[in-house]
Amino acid sequence: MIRAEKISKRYQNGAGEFLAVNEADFTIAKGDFVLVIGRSGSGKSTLLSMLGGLTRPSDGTVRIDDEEIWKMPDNRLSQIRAEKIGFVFQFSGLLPTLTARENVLLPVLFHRRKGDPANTRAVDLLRSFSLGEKLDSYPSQLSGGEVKRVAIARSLMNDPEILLADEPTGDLDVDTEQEIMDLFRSVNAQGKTILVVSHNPDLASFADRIFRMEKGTLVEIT
Amino acid sequence: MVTGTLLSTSFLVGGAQNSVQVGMDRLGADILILPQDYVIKGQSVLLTGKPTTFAFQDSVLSRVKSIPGIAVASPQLYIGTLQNQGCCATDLQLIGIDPENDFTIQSWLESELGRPLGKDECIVGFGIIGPVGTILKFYGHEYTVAGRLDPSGMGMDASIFIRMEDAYTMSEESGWKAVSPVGIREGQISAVLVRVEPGADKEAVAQKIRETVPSAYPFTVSHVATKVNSQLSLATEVLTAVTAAVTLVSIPFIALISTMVANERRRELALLRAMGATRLFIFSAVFSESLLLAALGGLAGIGISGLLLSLFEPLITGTLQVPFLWPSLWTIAGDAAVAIFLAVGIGGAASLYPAYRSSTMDPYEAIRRSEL
Ligand SMILES: Nc1ncnc2c1ncn2[C@@H]1O[C@H](COP(=O)(O)OP(=O)(O)O)[C@@H](O)[C@H]1O
Ligand SMILES: [Mg+2]
Repeated sequence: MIRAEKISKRYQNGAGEFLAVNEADFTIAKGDFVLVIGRSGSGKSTLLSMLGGLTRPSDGTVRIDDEEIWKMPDNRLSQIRAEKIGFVFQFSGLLPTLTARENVLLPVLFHRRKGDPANTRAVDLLRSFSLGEKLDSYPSQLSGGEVKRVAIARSLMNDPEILLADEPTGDLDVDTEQEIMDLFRSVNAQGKTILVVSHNPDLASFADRIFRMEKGTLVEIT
Repeated sequence: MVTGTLLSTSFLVGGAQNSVQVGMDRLGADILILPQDYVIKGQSVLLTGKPTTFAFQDSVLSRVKSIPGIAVASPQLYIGTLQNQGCCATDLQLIGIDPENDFTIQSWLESELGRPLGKDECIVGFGIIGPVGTILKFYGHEYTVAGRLDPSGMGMDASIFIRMEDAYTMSEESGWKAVSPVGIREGQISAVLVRVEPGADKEAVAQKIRETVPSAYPFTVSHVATKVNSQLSLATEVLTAVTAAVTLVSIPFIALISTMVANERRRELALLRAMGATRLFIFSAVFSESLLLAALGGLAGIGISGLLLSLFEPLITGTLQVPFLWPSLWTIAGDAAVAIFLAVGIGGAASLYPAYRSSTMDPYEAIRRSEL
């Protein structure tokens, strides 16, 4: 469960202050598939980063499973990021010097979960995303859709409760976009909470709840 | 680069000091008497080993021996060779000794050879090739190699010690046997090596020699050593200044490189943060990478400076006019350890701030910037 209480983010710019996110206030329940749409520059990435513990809100609090994440010491917050949250970024987010399998294994550095050996799990994840042939390929040898699937596989490596995705279909063609969104749907069907941020209103059909972000202000529209 | 400079400095200084000490020990003389008119060349023989032929015009030995305070006075005869056909690439210094009075290589002869130098035998310096038993021919006269001295880093390494009598014979015969004659007459000597009596004042004895034998120029050991030291200390000062400058300049330079590396990798580091890396993890990663790079750089520096030194050693010794003897392996290892330690220290110090910056950055900020 994610609870945002009047979170705002102000940036200093030349003229003065700029309000990138203005008192966003909402609760996302476990298992929700949420889409936030809004134009470029409306504050979506900033919002996502505050929820995921990557940038500190200027005001307000963020709770994940009733814990206030921005009151924690760094090592505890890092542990939450490692265990409970998976990130998918707009850019590839893969390390170019590592193979697909090694990239997927990276999160294990920060959280050792019980269960299958890490390598088995990484390979299983990649196979289930139809990447069984690309285990030892480098990111430069993969297509845009494949890179994105590796990135999603990596975000699931530590079996997090929450998946945060920033423009995951930003630079993909319509068919690949469909493919990736279907992937999110199936992950959501396994009970994971998913928050996707995009400028593309066409993605609305995949989500249960839809928010619109406009100049820093967030409104739920369904 | 830093390590290289540090290492070169300490090698050069260590090498030269080593040579002088070993050389003086080997010589074992308190005073060296040379002909007044050959003083300059004489010093060059002693220190840089440019072979020359010279001699006193008058008989000085008996007059020197009569001076009180002198324990042993041993004559030497210096004859420079022409480029030798067989054995050696460079000119050599033939040194005639009086086996009965000699104390420069005599002790060596007794311990290694167990007998005095025989007729037409020679003892060669470290730099001369050929095993014991090799026949060397100078000015038409053949000598058999009887032994080889340890390295001195001085002119001695390219010297060949023969008996004075054989030298006179060779000189006489060179008139018809050799291309150009030696030009030394029987009884002539080039130098007298003096050991003063225990407790005697070297400088006072030297002064007495100056008064008694006007054609002689006595060097005391300290005199010789001082000349080398002053030449060296200038070189040392220059190198120390260079080292200091390089070190000072390199700290911000390394910091800049660390920062650039850290910046270039901001996105990757931010990604790791998003995956759950703690600040401490990021700090350690950047810091230890810098240390590793510094250590590798240090090793490379040592390798390069070692290579450069061995390539340019003749040039360095030539231009600085100081003898050079490679320091012992332990000294080299010590210097190398210090150099690596310094490199790692400098690398570590310079990367502290970039490492700290990387660990405290806002991950979203870093990712956003790299997306622009
Ligand atoms: N570090 C920053 N400094 C100043 N302005 C920023 C910073 N980060 C984001 N902004 C501004 O905040 C606004 C929202 O940015 P962002 O959250 O990236 O929007 P979106 O993801 O919807 O495109 C933009 O106008 C952007 O220029
Ligand atoms: Mg964005």
